[in-house]
Amino acid sequence: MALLEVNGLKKTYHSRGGQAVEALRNVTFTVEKGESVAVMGESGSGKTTLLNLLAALDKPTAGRVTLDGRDLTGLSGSAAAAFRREQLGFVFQEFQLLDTFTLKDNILLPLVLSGFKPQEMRGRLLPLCEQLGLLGLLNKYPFEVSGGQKQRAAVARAMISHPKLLLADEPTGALDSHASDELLRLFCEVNAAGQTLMMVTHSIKAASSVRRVLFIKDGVIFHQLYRGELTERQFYQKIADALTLLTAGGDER
Amino acid sequence: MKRLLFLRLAATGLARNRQMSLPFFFTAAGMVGVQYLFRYLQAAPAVEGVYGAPAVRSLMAIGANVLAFFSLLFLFYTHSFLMRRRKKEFGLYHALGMGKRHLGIILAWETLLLGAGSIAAGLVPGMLLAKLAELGLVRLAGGPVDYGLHVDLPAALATAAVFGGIFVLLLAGGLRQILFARSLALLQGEAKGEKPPRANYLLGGLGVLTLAGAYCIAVLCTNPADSLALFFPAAALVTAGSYLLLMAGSVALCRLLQKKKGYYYRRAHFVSVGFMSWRMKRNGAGLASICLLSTMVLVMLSGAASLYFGVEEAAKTRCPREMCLTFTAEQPGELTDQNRQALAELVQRETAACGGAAAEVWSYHSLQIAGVVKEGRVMTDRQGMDEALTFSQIWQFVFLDLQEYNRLYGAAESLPAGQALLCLPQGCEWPQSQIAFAGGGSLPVARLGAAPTLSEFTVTAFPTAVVAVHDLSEAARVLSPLKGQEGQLVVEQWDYAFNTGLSDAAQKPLYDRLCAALAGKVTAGRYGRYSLSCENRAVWRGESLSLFGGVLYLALLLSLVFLCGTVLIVYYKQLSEGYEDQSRFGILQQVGMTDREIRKSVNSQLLTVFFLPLALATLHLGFAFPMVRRVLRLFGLHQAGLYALITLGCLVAFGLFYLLVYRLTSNVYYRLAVRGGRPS
Repeated sequence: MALLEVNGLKKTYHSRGGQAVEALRNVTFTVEKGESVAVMGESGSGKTTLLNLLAALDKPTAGRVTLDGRDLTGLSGSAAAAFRREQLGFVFQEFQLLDTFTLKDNILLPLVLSGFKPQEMRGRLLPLCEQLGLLGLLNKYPFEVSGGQKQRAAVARAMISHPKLLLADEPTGALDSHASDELLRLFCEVNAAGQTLMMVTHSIKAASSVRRVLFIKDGVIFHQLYRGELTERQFYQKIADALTLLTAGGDER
Repeated sequence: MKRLLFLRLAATGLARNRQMSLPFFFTAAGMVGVQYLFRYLQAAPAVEGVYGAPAVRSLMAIGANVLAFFSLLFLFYTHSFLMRRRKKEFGLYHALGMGKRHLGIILAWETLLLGAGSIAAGLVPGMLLAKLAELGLVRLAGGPVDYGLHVDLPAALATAAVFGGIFVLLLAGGLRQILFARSLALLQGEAKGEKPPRANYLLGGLGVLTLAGAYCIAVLCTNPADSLALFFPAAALVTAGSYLLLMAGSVALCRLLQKKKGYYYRRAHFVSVGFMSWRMKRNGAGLASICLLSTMVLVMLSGAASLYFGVEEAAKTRCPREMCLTFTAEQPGELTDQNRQALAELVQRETAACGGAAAEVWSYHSLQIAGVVKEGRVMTDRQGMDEALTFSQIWQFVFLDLQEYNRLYGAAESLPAGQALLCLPQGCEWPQSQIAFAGGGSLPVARLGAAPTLSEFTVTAFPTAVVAVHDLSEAARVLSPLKGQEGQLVVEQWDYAFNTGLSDAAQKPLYDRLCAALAGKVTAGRYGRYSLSCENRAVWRGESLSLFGGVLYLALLLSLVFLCGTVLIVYYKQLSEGYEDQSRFGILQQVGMTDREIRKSVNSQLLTVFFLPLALATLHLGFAFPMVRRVLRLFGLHQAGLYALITLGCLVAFGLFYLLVYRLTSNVYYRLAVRGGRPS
């Protein structure tokens, strides 16, 4: 059974004037355990809506999402919050670290909310931060460190609860190329270690670092590519070609 | 053309930020109005007709100055919020190519618009309010009513000048910020890279110590006169202590809690404590201001209301009989038995002439002297007096002859000639077997009597000792060497008090008549030379009502202003916090905090932030209570119960009002922070 199953997902928003906007029309795909998947598409194609639905931050108009056999669409507010905290890890473009907490407290936040004991937290914090190269920065505040370091802290926060699925929304969007490369390398590492990963991105570079790319357009999955045995460079080219086709308006699948 | 552009930019800027600029405008206008009100009442013709008009006038003058100072501080405080939001806009203009000079021009226009607008908008309602207030004051204090509307031009000009000055200072402050800011910093504007709160345990501890010191003063100082003298030092300590405690102490406390891993890393505490340390760092000063304003309102209102509602009781303490006459001889020995007899007859005749009868006469004849008591020696000269560390060391000695003593206290004491019966003030001891007057003689003490219980001897600010001697001439002999010294310290006094059997309204003519008939000039030579103090309960009550009415009125007005100040601080606080917390709550939600948890955490933080000052103010009030009570005793108020009741009433009313303000303003906060921060 696939880890994540998305089936016939539909989301319609009603604007203030009563005008209905279909953000997602009919999205169906699955993600296997240990996979790494990127979702690509233009602004307004429904990527963020999809991510919000996967995170149970929002409820779909129709269709269902199951993670590890559990239906997310029926979760109540507090169950959804617990689900986010325990099963999902989030990484955002703008890091979304709390400026009032040190990096350490930011990373520990999900564990504290889940009611972990201080010793357990310590047991998880240290190895993770060693892996992410954060050990010397734990007592710093977000405004005292660089963008790349902030994003690494955000990854640590996302992973400390040992989530089934790591979701990343445009994770390299606010980083320079050096920090981007480093973050993508990190994602490859954690994925190789068994972490299932799904990212939403504009960046071909970022997308070419994963195993499979889904293209979304006008609220439906338009196309998908597997990396297979391709090198990163070849895969990059293939994605670029697909994107060209996508934006140049190929109506065929 | 270009100048008009700047004016337009200033006007649209203010309009766009109306959530900030409008409350500021109304604050300033309100303060202008109240400032005018005080300056108007200072010179209002209607006040002339009130008893104790000079006292009311000087009270209003003090009030106007206190308010001007408060306005300065408060407008600076609220203007800083406005500036913080405007800075970003200025940064944009700067990036688009405007020089700092141009920004200065915009700011100047803005200040001019706000300043001129609020002064104009404040003066008009101020004038109407002033008339209402005048009628209110006259009604509360008694006096003729005049319904005409006067505009007091000098008062209006003075008010405009005060606020013109304040706005010039505000502009200077704003210009300084623009001139010294780096361009990029301007664009980034709000809250960028704020330093994390650092725990300053030293200052926090100092705050605790300062407050403890002030509280000790309030509790340990048992003498009314000392209480009055130490009230302002104690208030200064409380002010400093509150600021230190809320600014440094609260952050230090949060930091300590964060160090306790077992406490901090818990679901219920983590977010709240973590956020609180920043909140307190930013808000400590504002919270301390709220706390002190609240304390001021509470102490002022409860004290003034007690004075006003306690007048009846105070009148009874002050005048145990309806008419109280005190004759003080110019030279000891002049109020002889015959003279006193003749004066009493004169008083009775005059009373009868007014249709009354002097009944329940209560009189005593005494020699009195004040001196500093040190180990059984009494120093009465200036030098000795200066050595007194506290007022409680200065005693009043009242010498009575034994017959008078026995009569007053219903006792049957006897004494050997040349010896004294000494009645010490409550709780005092006498280490010697004699009373020795430095520079005078001494009297051996035969024995100690019970503490004086007559209210005459217990209500004064100074401890009073009653010394009974066989005959007053013995006391005169001991005291006579002191007579020539500076200040004519030995006083021969005859108190003669009685009830008249007349209605309150008929007392005043009798009072005037007695004052005229007994004036030293009229009776000169016939009954000895003396000075007279004549007090009538009804007359005193009338005068006190007007004075305390004025005080209560002033307290009410000031309370109203301070309350408005409190409300606005609370409002601005909620507003600025709401903006700052928007993104934080969005993040917490994404990380997996439920709406309920967020709401709970927000609630506990807001409750702490807003009720901490009130709790501290209540504590301040509690410790001020004994001190104020003792000061009130100076005014003849002894019913602690009445004062306690009034204080409690003020506290409850204030608490309810505060709660209301909190409820109303926390909606602003929720709207901004929780709903505004929700990811779309």
